[in-house]
Amino acid sequence: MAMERAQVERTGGLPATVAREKLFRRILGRQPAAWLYLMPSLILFAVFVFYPLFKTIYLSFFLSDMKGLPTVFIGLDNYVRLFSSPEFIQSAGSTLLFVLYTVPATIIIALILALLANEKLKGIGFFRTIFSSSMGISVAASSVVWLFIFNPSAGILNRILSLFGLRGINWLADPNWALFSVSLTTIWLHLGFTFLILLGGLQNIDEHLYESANIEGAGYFYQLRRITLPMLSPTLFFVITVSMIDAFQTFGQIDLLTKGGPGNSTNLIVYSIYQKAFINFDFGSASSAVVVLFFCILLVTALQFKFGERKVHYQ
Amino acid sequence: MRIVKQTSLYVVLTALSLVLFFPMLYAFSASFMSAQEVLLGHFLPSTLHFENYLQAFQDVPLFRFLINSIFISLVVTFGVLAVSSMAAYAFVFLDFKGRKLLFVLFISTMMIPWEASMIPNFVTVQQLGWINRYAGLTIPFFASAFGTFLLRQYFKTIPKEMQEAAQIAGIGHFRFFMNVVLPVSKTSLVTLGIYTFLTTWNAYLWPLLTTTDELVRPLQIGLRQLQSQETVNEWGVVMAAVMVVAVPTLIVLFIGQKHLQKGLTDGALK
Amino acid sequence: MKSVELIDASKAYGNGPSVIEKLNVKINPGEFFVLVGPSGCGKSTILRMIAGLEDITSGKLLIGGQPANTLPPSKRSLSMVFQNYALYPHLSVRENITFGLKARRIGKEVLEKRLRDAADMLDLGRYLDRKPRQLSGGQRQRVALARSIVSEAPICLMDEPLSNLDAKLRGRMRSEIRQIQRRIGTTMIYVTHDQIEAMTMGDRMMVLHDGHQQQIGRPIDVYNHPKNTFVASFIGSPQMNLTPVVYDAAKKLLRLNKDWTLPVDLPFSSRDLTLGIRPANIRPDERAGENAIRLSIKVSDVEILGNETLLTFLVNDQIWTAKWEGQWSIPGGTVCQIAVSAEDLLLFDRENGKCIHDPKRPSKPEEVTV
Repeated sequence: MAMERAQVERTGGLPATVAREKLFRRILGRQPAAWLYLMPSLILFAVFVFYPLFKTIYLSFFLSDMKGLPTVFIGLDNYVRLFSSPEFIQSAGSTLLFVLYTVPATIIIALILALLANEKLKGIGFFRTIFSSSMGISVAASSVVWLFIFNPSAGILNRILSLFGLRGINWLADPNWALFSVSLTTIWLHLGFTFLILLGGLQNIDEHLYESANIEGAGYFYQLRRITLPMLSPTLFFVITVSMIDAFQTFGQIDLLTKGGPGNSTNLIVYSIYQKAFINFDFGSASSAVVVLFFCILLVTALQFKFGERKVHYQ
Repeated sequence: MRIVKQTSLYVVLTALSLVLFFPMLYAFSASFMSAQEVLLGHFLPSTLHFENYLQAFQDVPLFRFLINSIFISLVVTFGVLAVSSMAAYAFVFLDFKGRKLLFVLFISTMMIPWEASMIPNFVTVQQLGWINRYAGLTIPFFASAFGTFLLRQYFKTIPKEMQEAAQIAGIGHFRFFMNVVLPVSKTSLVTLGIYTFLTTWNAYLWPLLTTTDELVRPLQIGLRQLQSQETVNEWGVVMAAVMVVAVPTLIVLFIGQKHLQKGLTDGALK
Repeated sequence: MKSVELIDASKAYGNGPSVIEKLNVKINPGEFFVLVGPSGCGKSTILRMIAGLEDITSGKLLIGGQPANTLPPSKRSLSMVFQNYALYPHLSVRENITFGLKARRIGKEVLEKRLRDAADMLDLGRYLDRKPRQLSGGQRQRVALARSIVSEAPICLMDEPLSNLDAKLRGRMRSEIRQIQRRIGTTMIYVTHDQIEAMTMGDRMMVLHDGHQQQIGRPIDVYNHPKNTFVASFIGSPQMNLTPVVYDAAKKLLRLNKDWTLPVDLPFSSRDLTLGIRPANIRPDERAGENAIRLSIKVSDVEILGNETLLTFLVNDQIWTAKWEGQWSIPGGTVCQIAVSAEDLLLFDRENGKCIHDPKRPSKPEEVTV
């Protein structure tokens, strides 16, 4: 027999080796090879996530020189200056406003699209693809397209307004409109992803629930309220969190559409950090803003978990 | 009744599709217009001005950027697939001390926004001499908590007995990983691959920081460069460049839409 | 072929209580040995301990007479068939069967020959290029068997291999597995919760309950001479009737309740007992012998299963079943006479469940020969 030849070789081994092996196992677990598989991730996370996170916090307590290197320890001075600077307060305010403009609108529109696209119709796949298409278009490409659309003279928006005899709007240069215009671009940009996730959530709902509701004679909106939304709540929960975090992190649209202007009205937090750090090379002050952003995002996630979880209906 | 409902649904769906896709259609149309036509606010070009595309490729090394973007996105995609699938394998099939704790640590990195580590990372990459190098644009993105999580969810559905059968047959971990786990998980690897490709292709801030010359610059930053170079009137050329940037990912998305939808919802919710 | 021996083998998870307690058994080379018990009794754990998929907390495992506690699974000269078959879904039947052989770097010719032999033996020749999902449950089962056969391992472990099949196929595979095992002569350790499989397939079996071994022996001996009430009730279908009784040594009778008594002469003093009797040993009045003990009962239900009939009735508020040859259409509620013979009565200690009276048990248990 082939396997008999593979004799039962190790017959227990010396007591010392056994003890050493046991110790080894106790420290590393049954399969020390695991660490080999985890090594690449661990090294990369350590170098590019954890180390920089702490380094950022460290930097936020220092003044920095022209190269951005830390020089003098100044404790919380960066934070004090940050919160007393009207510029930062404005930037934080714009960011919150921006979240308010974009997140609910994106989710509601995406939900409507998803509900429509979840109907069983011939050729629905085509519509689904179109609805999700903005996911495949980069921030840069879509910002440039919207830059064109918003163009005061050549852009289509003002053309349409003039058709109705209305005066053109300076979409991106008018401080009253700029944030709205950036939000519009962002909503369009995020619709694809949000739609895709919500559609997936809808499709995960058990068909039988609707069948039995139909038999009981429940109407469409009753079913929507009593079956679809509760069953979709985990997905909605996920989508809200992701959208808010995304909104906090907005950068590309600003850089291409307004560069933070006019009059700082669209200077969202990440863009202001970018300017501080990479235009002015004030790493210390930029780091303190990063830390504030980090805790804001942490807070959002924590709040979502605390309040979202309770209402969420998990299957 | 049924037909009325269906027809109205189609009408609504078509109308919404037109509205949503309008920016892209408009851009596509404008990419064939002369500067004159753009200024007059035409919606359709009278003749197709293909020279806009030629112009775009001449104004900036758009072809170079295209190759860069493809190369960077592919490298990151395969990097993420390799690194995350290895980590996910360890979390599912290997027993080691502190597995749960380490997994929580992995997941927690999803809560740390990229911006939080942006400044020191820039310094790190600078010190490594990776500014204007492909390495700086790819290697920092190889480890993905999301990818590890997504694959772990799938790996967990592989029956434990399969691993035990392999163990008894004397098939080692690496062989089992390569010859069984990866082929069996093809669909979730494809999902993660598409997702990673799209996000890398569309990345903006990091390439903006780390590419100061045209050699390794990806398309997105190239588009920014073109847009700032072009005079206000040359919208046709800029839109042609937009098409070059957007069409490859749109194709990837159209092919992978189903995969992506299923994979992402599964990953997000289980 | 190799023997497998467990000496005081125990298993506990962490610092918890043991799930397997001091197991002692020697499985002979070439023997078909069945581990049987209800779900959660630890039978699969034992198999996995033998396979090396679970650590043995204390005690010894000998394979072919050599200590094997710390050997990795691949060095234990065994193959294993799993309940869910554990086929690789992305590989064809052919690749599934030879996957392990390739890992062991077995030459192409040998590999082809073994594949051909196994495919012939299991009638899989036509399906070699299919994927597992294109096969029926029974065919998948055969692929799993083939995979174990080609390894030519001297020991084969099977964990509930038939439980995912429908009843008809299960019956066929039972005899097929038995025949293959005889033909290739491998030492088989077979786990099942199904006492019919245990009865029909095993050379010997071990009955397990809550991680404790209850009885080891040839199926027929275990059936006829259960060592305790657990084995008595677990082996045999329908179940053995068990009811609490009191032995009155003065009057030499077993008292079931105030009306029901069985006159028997037993060699011990008055005590609390459990009476056990197999349904097949409760006979209709007219078919019983002279010395039989007769009782009258009220029939509560009758099931005619083709050529045998199951009667249920209440004794001491407990449901008893009798199995009679032939077709008996008796309306429910009928009072009729049943008969049992004293030598069919098994008596168990009420306290610890041990069998203390078994008239048919040979005074010296026969040596088991395989």
